[in-house]
Amino acid sequence: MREVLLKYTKDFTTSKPVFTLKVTNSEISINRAPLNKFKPTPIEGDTLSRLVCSCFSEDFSTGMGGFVISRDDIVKSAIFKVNREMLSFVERYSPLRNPRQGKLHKFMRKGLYDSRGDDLQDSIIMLYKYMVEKTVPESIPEVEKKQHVKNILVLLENLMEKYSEESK
Amino acid sequence: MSVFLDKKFEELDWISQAMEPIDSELNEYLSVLPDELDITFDLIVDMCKDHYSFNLSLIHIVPHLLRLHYGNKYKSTTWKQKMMLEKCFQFKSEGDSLIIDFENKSISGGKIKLVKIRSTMDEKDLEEYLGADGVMAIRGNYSYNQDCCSRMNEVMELLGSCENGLKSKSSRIKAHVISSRLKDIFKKNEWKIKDTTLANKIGYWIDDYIANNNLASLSNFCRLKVMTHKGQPIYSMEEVV
Repeated sequence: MREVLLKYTKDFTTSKPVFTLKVTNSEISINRAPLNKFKPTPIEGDTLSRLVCSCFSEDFSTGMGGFVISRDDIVKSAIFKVNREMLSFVERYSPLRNPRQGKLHKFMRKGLYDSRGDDLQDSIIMLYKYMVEKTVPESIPEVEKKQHVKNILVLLENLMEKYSEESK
Repeated sequence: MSVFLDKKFEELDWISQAMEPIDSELNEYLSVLPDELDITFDLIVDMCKDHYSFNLSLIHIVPHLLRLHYGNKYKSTTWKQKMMLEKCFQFKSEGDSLIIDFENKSISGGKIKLVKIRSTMDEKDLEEYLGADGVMAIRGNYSYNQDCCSRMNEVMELLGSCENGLKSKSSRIKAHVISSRLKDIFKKNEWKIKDTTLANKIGYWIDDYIANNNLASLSNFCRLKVMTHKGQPIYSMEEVV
């Protein structure tokens, strides 16, 4: 899945290093926002493309005199965003009275900073895609959304059981 | 009595001897820097490489220019010196929409200049600066321990009016009393020292004697103390290295 996400960054370029200058009596400050900032355009209807584009970031290197991007870092940031959103999803929709104390929350929280196996991470990315496409759009009726939410929670619990057993 | 001779004072013309102006290396630094300087793209990039910030302030550019214009003779400036030199310059811009282009390595939409607004340091500023770096050397030294206390007592006896420090057993309190007394001496101009470099050395000598038991530093301090008894302005003295 990392390769798939990486492909979405193929067309990413960088902003032109042109900035406005502000001069006061004691300071010359360079406005950090470039005049023509590069904004990646996501492929319409593609959730993963939208995800990767939302994680676009670039750094200015004074030594190199321009912006630089790290495609790997963008992908890492996208995966982190997926994990964070899924954790919030569990917090929001878990049937438990205190979801933060539940096993599922613990399982998802653990994956936020520890690296997961590729299989598990790929499954969570696919669930994220499912979640965004089926539980977020306003066009989908609430009753249907609730069913999708239940599905995702069940699938996450299954993943948790499978991968917890494997790790034992 | 050539040991206690103030050569610099002797060499001054009669007007200067009557006026007793404060001499400072900061005026020397100031005279070396140009009255007006175009701020170019290369200079901005060169400066931004030196520090993380994307901003270029006077406190950064003035020492940078000193290094460029003063060459090997330039010794690093203290923070206080930088702050004082900063007051003598201003940035001026022509044009409202200045743009820096790192791709074409240029600045467009106007010009930026660094302008010297004072050709000499203000006498009041120099009065405040007398001995300040030396006092900071004592105040900022946290390595004084109980072994230093006897030397600190000797210094306090030489400085006078340090009863609180002499009574205390704490090296920190003693150091605080010494630095405060020294600050007070310069504030009230008790010793009539008229050279900022010499005034700063006093604190460094005291610090060196207390921390490292350097007798040459004590000797210098004592010589200066003897010279103060004449009641004349002091510009220089013969140092023991």
